[in-house]
Amino acid sequence: MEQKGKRAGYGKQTLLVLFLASAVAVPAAAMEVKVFAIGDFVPSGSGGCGGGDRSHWPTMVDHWYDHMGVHGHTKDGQYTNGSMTIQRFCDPDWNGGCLDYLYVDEASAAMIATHGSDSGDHWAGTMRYPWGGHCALDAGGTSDDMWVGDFDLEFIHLSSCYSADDDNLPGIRHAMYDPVDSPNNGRRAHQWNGFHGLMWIGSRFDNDYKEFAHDAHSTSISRSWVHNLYDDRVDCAGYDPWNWFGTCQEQCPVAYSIGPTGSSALTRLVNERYNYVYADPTGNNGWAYRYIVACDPSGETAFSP
Amino acid sequence: MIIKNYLYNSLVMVFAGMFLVSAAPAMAKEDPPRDEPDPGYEEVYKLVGGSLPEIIKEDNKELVSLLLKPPLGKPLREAFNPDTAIKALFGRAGAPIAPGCKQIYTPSGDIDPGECQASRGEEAGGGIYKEFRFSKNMSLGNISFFDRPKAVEIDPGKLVPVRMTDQQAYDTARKFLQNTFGLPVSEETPAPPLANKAVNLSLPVKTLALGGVDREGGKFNVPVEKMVILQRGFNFRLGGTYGEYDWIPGPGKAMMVLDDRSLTSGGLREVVVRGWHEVKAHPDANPEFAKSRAMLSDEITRDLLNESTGRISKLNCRLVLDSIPTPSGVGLLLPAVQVHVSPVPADLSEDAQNALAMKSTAGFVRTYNLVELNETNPKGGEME
Repeated sequence: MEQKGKRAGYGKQTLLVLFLASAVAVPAAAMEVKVFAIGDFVPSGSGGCGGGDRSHWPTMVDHWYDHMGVHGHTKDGQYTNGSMTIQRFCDPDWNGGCLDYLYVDEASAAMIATHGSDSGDHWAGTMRYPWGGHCALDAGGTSDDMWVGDFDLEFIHLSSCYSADDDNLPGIRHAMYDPVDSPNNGRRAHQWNGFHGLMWIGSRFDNDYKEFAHDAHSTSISRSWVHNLYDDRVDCAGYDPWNWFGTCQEQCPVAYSIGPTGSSALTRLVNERYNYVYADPTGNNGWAYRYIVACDPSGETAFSP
Repeated sequence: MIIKNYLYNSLVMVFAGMFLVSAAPAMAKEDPPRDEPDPGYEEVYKLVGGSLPEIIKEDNKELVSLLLKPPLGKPLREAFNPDTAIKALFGRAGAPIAPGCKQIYTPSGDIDPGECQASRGEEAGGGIYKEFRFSKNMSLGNISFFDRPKAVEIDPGKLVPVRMTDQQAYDTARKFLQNTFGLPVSEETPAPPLANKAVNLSLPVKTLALGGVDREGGKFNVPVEKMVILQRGFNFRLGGTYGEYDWIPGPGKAMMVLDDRSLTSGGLREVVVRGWHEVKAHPDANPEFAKSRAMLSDEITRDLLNESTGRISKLNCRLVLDSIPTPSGVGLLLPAVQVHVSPVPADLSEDAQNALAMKSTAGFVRTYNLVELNETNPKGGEME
């Protein structure tokens, strides 16, 4: 079932803009948040893009979405299964039919939950249905489907495998601005949060997503993402629940920011919260990331940036 | 300084509808769906059977009976003293506790599952801020603390590498959690048996780091903090070749982030205790209704097939004590098997990762009771 949120409150946004114009960083007004999740994937025989079902996935990420509402943010769109195609995430400067400015790029903070893979130099997310023969949402690196931040989005969270792989870090920044619009309107995304290698789904992780939302108001978003979503003991052998024999894998969250310099990106990474937001970055030549040293997930070798 | 042009946004929104029903245009590169067939019953049953801990037999009455009598430590409801914690975390000046903390019942008369907060500084803004939260009903077992420094510009060249060793971090964290938060020693899983060279000697300590690249291409990666993670466990002394089944994981985890200040001034960056419930054995769990290894394998197999999971590359099962929440906050313990299902192997080359496009990648976890519950309170097959 798909449920669309209400339209953005532009009066409130305008107030925020006035604040942003007068200071480096300000206590931010309420944000508009959206969540996009696929738990029920559709086989190609039924016209879908394939992928194994993960029925609990939407529920898991809704814990983030719901708790953002508890903190006074506007729950502006909860998109679950339905007709999820790349049209909601791709930029019209790539293809005129793309509608990211009505969906992911219309939020201030958004979370996407779907199967993902490492497609060369970037992340590729699996959609529920193809659009123009396209099932993969390619973002970052040499891909050019997804350019967010040029309309509104500041913080994008990927509950998706390989969404922040160590070898793709240099290219994530290319999904956080639009090479056509950003140089003119100055808008860019601030932070991208994802995973190195595989991530995991289950009710035991529900509270982690809720706490991520909560803590990111009192400490930095990057810190909250990495500390709440790290798991040191997934996929351990039955005889090794404590990892004494080294069979366990880890879930490896990575937080990533951009800026005109490395120092600027790092300052944003360390300080930005949902209630303390800097003006948009003025460039993306520098980037910074928070991570766990040598974190070793399933489906990947240990994190080695 | 960038000012967002919301007039521009509004105009774009107006014209957006023109494209809503537009046909999807042709794209240079297509990536069609790639279906992967679901595995069959025999294949999954074999995977499950091969991964269940050997301690789970055909007859598990004795095992369930034992697991329903866990050696519990003192619950946090008795051991945790907020005043002691506030003094340790905020110093003699303390911190004001939010009004309403003593209101432990909701207007409808239920026990309030919410949290009590004490803080110093302003949560909003870029100033120093310390926040301490704990369950109003400490049977729920949630405690957290943050010490946020002032927001300042950060020069990567001035980041100070953490010097603390893993052993120092581990010892400091355990001491703090026991002495200040009252975490019971008897429920903290010990470090691996050092005498046995067959086991991994690493402590549950990770190093947190900041990295990045400057516009000139200069790269930095600096370890800045240590993170200690303690999983709650119960010592049943079940044995195994190396004592690997002595400790069974239970509900609750503690995490502590430290930097070098922690060794000198006692300063802490972050401490979290989550879900360290007060627990008791589930009253409706009767060892006579313990599931056999075959029954459990069949139940797990059918449930996974029902989910239509796609490809399964790895499947691991571990024995745990699950906790069923109750309105009082006291969790009801149930022996259970936690199943981790991964569609891909542990390590993959970059080429192999590329081949995963449009295939199942996310792993998932589910939990299955090891004992059938009486019909008065059925909770079998609890989904994770």
